[in-house]
Amino acid sequence: MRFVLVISAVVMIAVAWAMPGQSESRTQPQPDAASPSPKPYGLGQAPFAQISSASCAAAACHGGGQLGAKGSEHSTWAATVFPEGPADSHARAYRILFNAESVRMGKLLGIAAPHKEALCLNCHSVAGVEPTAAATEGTGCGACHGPAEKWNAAHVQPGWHALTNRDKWERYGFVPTKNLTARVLSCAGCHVGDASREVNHDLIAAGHPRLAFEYTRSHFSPEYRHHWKEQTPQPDFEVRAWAVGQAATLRAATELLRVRAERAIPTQSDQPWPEFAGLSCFACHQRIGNDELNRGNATTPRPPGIAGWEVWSNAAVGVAANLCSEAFPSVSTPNLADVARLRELMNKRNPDPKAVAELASRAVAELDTWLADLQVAEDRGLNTRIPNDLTRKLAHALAANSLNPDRAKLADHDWDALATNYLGLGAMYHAAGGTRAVPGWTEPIRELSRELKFPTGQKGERFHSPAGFGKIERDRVRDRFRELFDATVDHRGKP
Amino acid sequence: MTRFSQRVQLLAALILLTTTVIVSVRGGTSANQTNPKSQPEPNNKNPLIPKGPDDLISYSPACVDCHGRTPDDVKNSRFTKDYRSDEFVLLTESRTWEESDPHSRSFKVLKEPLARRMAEILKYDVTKSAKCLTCHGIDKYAGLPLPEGDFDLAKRFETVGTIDVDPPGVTCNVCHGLRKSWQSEHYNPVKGTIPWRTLAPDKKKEAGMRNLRHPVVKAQLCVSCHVGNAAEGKVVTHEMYAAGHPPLPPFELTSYMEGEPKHWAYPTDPRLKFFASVPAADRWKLFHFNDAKDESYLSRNFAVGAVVALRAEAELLLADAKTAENGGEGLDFARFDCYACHHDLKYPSDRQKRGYDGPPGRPTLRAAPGLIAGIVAKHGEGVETTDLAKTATGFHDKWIALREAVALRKAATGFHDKWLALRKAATARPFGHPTKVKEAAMAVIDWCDNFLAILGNSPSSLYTIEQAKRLRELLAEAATSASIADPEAAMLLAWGYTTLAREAGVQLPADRLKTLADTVPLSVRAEPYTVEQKPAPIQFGTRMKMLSGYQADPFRQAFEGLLK
Repeated sequence: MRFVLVISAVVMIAVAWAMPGQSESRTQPQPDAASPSPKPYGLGQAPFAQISSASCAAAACHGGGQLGAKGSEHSTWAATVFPEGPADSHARAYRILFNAESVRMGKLLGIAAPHKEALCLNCHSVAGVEPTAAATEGTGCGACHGPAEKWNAAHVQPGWHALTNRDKWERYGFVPTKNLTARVLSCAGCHVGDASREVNHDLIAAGHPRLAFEYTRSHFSPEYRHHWKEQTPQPDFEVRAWAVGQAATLRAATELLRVRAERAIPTQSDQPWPEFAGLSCFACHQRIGNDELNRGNATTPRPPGIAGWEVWSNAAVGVAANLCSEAFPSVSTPNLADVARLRELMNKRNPDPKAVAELASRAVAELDTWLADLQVAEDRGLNTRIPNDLTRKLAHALAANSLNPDRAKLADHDWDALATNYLGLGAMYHAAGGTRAVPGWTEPIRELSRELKFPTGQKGERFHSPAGFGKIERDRVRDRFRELFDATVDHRGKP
Repeated sequence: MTRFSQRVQLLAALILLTTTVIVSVRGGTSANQTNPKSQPEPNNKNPLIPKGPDDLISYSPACVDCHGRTPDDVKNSRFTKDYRSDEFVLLTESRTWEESDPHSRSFKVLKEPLARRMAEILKYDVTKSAKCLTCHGIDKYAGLPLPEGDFDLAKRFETVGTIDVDPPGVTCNVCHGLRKSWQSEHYNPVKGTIPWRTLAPDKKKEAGMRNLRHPVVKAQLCVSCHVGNAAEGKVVTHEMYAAGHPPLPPFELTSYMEGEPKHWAYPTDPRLKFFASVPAADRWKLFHFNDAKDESYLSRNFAVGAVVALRAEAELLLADAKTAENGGEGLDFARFDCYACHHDLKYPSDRQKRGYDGPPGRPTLRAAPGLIAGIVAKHGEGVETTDLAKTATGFHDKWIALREAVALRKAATGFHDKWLALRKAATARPFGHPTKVKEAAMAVIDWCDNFLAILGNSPSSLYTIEQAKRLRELLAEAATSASIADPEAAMLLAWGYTTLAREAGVQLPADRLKTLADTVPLSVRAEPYTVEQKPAPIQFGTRMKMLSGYQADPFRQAFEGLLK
């Protein structure tokens, strides 16, 4: 018994010693005065202390015990209170570290206990939460809403609502998640990754699922239990959330690329480079030679034999950029020239990390300018509804985006590009009101979903890749995109 | 063997073990040394390189005059009648090559649909690009040497320009020597004989003829295309594969020798009576073989081929690592195991169950070259010194044989660690740590050079009948003791074992071979061709299925069946 006490004392001292270092390594909020490009608020993690979600769960605060009701946010979020039906998987994030797959992953990576490893806990719990036992609650309140050291007391004071969102973030470390830009940037911290929260290819090879984040898909997942009610009506909410998601996801991916490139610059660096987790998975992970001519009626914008960089978050961003002025009044079409240059530079199997780091830094600045614009537009209040026709317009643009100008071939046959265009179309279809509103889209959208779905093996194995997705399947996908292209013209037959 | 001679050998072995510490083993092996370290020679000193356009022979009807006879017509040849040339060469060489050797089609394939599609994707003309022509159509730009050392394409184009008719691909001269200088000399009769035949290999080389009877020279030439050679501009890159280049089959010299429609015969072939008449002392010196009862000709070639192929692979890695160090793109994907990346992802995953060499998620080098070179090394380490001396006659030769055996054992050691270090360096970062890969590749190359210095130069019978048997046993053991996960490695084991077993006269029942052939193809080219039938175009799908359809357990079981 005494031995156990000694051990726990040692562990506690070690943890206490480690804590300050951890908080120092966090990314600072960046109201960078020297930089001419504006930055959105809510980037990275605020440098304040996390506190346990338990302090949010008082009955009079957010633990009201009424499923889905205002004042019952914590009760709705926590899996234990209402165990039936859909749940919030964030509440299970810690427990999952004990399952067989996590343990095997740990073994392959040389991690004895994933539930004690910062690499895992930075996302699977609230990083740095006090007391450490609170980590067991999973990805709790503070992970998304910001460390509550400063705002816990302040947010119930009368003056709180008078603060601007930027103040709430910069002074208190509170993430104003009602602002979609701040919200999705916060999600992207784990779901895309950043300097301290990273799923690289080593982890994926050991068994971690790949990250492929698209905000509206997560938001409207039937398995997800919301602990809040969205104020913006459809279709405005979903159209704007999709567009912000495109910008924020690519921003996070680009910043992560910059971080990885920086680490790889020293010639003797052992850091992975190129980092495969930032490349298109199924460019490589496919059985080769099943088709005599695997490409079918498809093309790729990349040289042969090169896996695309972040095809997932690049494929449809152009559509969001071109049409964002219609979804967000007063936001003009962003300049993404450096983003395009970066994509070009990444079309090498081993691009020079120094050049990549420099260009990625400029690309991040471009995306930040865009995101800051979107954020300001939202904060000004979006009383103006989006144009009636915008879901159709965006759907048409996405269908066109997936095809070559002559529509004879797919523009990019990479599965990630196809899936990204499909998810955008799915969001527009859902936002528009589904089969009752736009019956002509239903069949091709459902067909696309079937074609792009990962199959189940003959022995019940779960494929985590589009096994058997070849020329014939690509041609069918092309035909569905063509059908959607035709179904989404306006009554005059125009885009 | 008498007890006395056993004692003599034992004593000699003891003396030798002591002396080798002091005396450099490789110092005085043979006058006719081939030192792989010296490759490539500078162009101006390499006698195989034409001195200029005038010094070059292209595909020449002159060869066909003598070497293009039908089998029935050989006896009517003037050279058969006057100089018994049919006892030295076959005289049907050009015909065999033209009718049934895929090398004769190597340029033509660049105009077939597969190549046309590749050109479309790669955005360059595959019938004109040096990237293709260095292997596929070396004669297209006559006036140019088979590029060695510094390969200068611009010069090639400038000097000669194009020929309108299709060049015939990898012709006689591409392999045997491109210079005119040896052409008339090699059949020049002097006083009723042809002195060229017994000319020392060095002299033949000086005249511009490549000494293809030498296993190292031969293997190096083959692997320059069939594995690759960066200095000669012969590399099949991942970009080419992605555009549709069929996968290069893994390289194993004797299977390639046996698989190609033979326009030659081994010096141990009874048809070539000339070689039997060469005095024993000159057999190695002039033609690099030993009597079939003393040494397995193919086993020696197998060992040399395995080490030369590994060396070529290490050279490619070294070249890539050097470019990476200088800011270039570095290690090409083609240097890595295709199936490390190219597989469908699923749970549960076999790979995660099996575990990884190094960190998970790093592509590993191709396993095949290291596997068979490793077997050759293991064999070399375990060579019985006394066994090698058995075939030697006389105290001096026995002493040499013992010395060679000790040197062989010594040179063979350390392979495993060096190969492992190279594999580790290749996974230190996802596509290899340039400096570590460079150093590890150099260590592997050094090992190969030391080992080849003996295999390529020792006149002693290193692969005696007993040692050849041991080599086959080691191949069989590797194929059956553990599951071979890599299809290329499985092919090499199957090819090597069956080729060497056939030479030794081991019975391989047809039904069991058929079972094995259902798991891996038993010939280098999946596409059928025979002497009678012109080679079929490569069937890309078939060739890919050989690889993607491979399963480890059925292979092991079929191999076990073959051994029963």
